[in-house]
Amino acid sequence: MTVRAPAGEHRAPPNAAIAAADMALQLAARRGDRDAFAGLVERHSHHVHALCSRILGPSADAADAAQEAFVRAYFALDRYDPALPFVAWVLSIARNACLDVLRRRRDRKTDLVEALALEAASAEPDVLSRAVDRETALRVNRALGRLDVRYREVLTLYHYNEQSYAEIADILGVPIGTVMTWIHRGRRALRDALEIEEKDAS
Amino acid sequence: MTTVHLRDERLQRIADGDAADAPERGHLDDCSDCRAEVDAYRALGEALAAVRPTATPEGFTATVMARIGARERSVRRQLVVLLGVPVAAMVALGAIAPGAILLNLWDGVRSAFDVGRAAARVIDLASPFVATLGPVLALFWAVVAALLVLRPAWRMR
Repeated sequence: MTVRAPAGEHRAPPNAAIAAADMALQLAARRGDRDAFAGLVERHSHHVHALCSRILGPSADAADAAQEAFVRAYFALDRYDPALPFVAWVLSIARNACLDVLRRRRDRKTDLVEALALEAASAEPDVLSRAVDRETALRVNRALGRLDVRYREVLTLYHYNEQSYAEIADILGVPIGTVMTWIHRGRRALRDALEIEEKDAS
Repeated sequence: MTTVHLRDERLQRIADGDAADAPERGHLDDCSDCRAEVDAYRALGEALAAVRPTATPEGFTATVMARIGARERSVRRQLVVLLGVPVAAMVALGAIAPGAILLNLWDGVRSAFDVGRAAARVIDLASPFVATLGPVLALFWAVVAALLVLRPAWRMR
């Protein structure tokens, strides 16, 4: 049995060593040190790409939005407020880049749910723990593809990216109470979607 | 008698690690349905933490850095076009004006040998040149302001 992370409102701030290393790299990048910025990208790309993939489906668009988020962050480093962890700041930029893509897709009248389900079904999930087998990973990805985008966002930020309620509220620009409600409804909806997946499979 | 189960929101929070209070613990001890719900939400959270939609593409960081370089070059090109053309025009004007003044001055001296007329002619001819200093100064400050605004996008090593 794995050790549980504490609940969102009590979730500890990010590891102090990680935060200090991020701060040092961020300050060096601000002075124009590109290698330092590349270090930040290397450290956080998997979290940012995961969020984009959850919002847009695992696609070329997701990789593009995640990369665009880091590019925008580089040119906005002067405006970064260290009160928010660096990764949370980039996640908020990534989320906006994803919403830009979603708006363009809606303009093209793409059936988003269908497209996401297809992309999720065709992509090979990256299973990070032996506690979950490949079949479960596939079902979770497919079930997430059936959810509203706001639920996919909060569930990814909370469970995968390990952001606190307050950080998610900052990233999404909504009150903490709303974050808690979305997480609660999202998990309920995900369980319903997983039941549908199981019925489809059988 | 109807059993009152814990609310779904509480079951989720307990699965997240929130401490159950005494009545909740008592209920969970007696109610296998609620315990099963907590376990199900716990497993769901573990699955969400353990599954990434897909692996991060190879060369992700290199692509980001290449895009940053491309955008910086693009900004530099725009600066050259926006500021270089007017600056070149001003420099050309600045180079031509003194030459024109000297030629006209020499013409005045040669034709009249009249120092007074020559001085008047210098003032006459110099005034347009002086007038060009205004736009040159304005352009200079425009360049300074543009650099200050564009500095974040024009970060150089």
